Amino acid sequence: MFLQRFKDSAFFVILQIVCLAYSLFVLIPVLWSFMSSFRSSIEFFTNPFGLPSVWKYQNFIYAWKQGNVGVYFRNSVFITTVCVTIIILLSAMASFAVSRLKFRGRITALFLFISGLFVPAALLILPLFLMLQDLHILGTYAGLIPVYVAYSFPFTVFVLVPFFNVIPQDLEEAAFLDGASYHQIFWKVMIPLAKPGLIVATIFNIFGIWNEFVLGYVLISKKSLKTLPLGLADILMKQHYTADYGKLFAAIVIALAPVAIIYIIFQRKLTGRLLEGAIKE
Amino acid sequence: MPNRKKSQKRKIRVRVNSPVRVVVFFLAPALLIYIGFVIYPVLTVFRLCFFRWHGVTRGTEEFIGFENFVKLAHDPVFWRSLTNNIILLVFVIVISVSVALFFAFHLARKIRGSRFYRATWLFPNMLGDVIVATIWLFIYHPTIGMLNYFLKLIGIDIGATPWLGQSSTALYAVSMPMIWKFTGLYIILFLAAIQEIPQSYLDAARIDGASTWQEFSHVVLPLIRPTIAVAVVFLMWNSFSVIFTYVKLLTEGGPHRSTEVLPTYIYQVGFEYHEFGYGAAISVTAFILIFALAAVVLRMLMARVVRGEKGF
Repeated sequence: MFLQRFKDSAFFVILQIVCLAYSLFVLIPVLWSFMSSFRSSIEFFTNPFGLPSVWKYQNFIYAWKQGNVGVYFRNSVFITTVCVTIIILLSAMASFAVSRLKFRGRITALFLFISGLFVPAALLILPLFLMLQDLHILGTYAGLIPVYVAYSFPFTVFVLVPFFNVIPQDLEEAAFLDGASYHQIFWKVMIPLAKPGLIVATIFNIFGIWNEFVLGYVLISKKSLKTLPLGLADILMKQHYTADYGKLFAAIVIALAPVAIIYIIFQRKLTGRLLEGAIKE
Repeated sequence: MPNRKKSQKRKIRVRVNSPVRVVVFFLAPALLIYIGFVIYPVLTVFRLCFFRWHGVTRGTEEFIGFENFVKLAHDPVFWRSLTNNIILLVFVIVISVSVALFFAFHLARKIRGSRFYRATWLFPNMLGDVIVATIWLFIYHPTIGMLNYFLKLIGIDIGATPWLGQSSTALYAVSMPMIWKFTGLYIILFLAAIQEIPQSYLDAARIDGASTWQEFSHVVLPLIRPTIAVAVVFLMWNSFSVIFTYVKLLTEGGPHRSTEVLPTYIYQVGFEYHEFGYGAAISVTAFILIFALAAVVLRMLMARVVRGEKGF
């Protein structure tokens, strides 16, 4: 009995050590990047792991101005705002249609959207490039925005439809009896009740668009139009020649700060039960 | 009461087909953008693979039948990319799923600090691939990198090993940042699935004297298998974009093609060799290879999404 108890508590101590070790494995690279953003270029070689001897906040100013990160940041905010707004609005409308309206081809439409989950965008870079070239919108936001929006539909519809499905029929009928139109039902009944799903879908889309690299890399080449991931990749590739590491990491910190803030605010929603609705058999 | 009658009529209308203009209004915008920018390119790639074309002037496409596929079969770089792609995927999936199962199983048994762990472990998944790739590029740095420093610290002094610069380690080195990023998401997903398992099942196993390992392998694992399947398949489809980013930024496919994968090779064939037809043929092959798997999982997913909408 005593031995068993000793074994149990020893097991839990070991388990805690393993969990802490894994947390360090996750956190140390992030913390190191943060400290590195304040390091001078020389210190990268003389003192790469300790605290910076002088906290060189000028790295941020340099990255923001000369490094063009300010422009990338504004572009990212713009693209993310526009794309996520369109994605959520149109996906909510489409999910409402395939979930609550009755028409022939409803299941086909749903199937079309869901099957998009299995279309890897990275395998379609050549036809997308050619198509935008034909339409004369290659290298512009008029080309990038519809592409980002289109590739976000499958996941967003997949997340939203179950939320629309579980809204009780009675509410809809009651609204009809009160003489509400379809538009009123959508805005006044459906949207408020599907809100938890809409929040999760919005957060995931913000992260998705903010971080998107492959499609932007293929479709955007002008420096003034690049988003943060594209700009960062540029700076990174240039580092092979200049080795201005402090500024590179300042740019990294600028790019991950908004994500970190949103994550900390919504962390409980994301790690809790809500995600379950998204991916669960 | 004329008013009442009108309402009843309305109520009946809910059960018959919705007006066409309403359906069109709600569905058409998303559907049209989706068909134009997702479905159409898929069709294009399946047509383009039968042509030889440099991709600039329209009208210069040359129909060559299956010639691109014949070339593909004899292209050692294609086979190298395919093999690397499969090794990379299997390695990432096996490691991250097993690690995630270990942590999810133990977190579900309510260990102290579980909330902190969940929040910490999911965090890398929110970071962009470019950021993660940059951080890991420096972890692997031969002279100022954390990895070599850490190895030296624990007594394994193997000098300034260029993890990304030697063929023997490059492919596995490229896979580590993906494992670092994805494991946390898997932990959260598996944890949610494990917590759905009725407590009585676990109690029953314990009363029967099952060990922790038996509890895991005989009760938990079979019950969360569908979740694991869905998560794995999602990763596989996402993986082409993800793999492209890491390979492009960490190794550019080198050294000597030892990290070349399908999406980076497609990019090179298209935008550097200007062989759009041949690039399309590689895409099509990749599509077909994953198609069988997609059919199975798609049916599972549709069943889930369609379910629970009885009554309307």
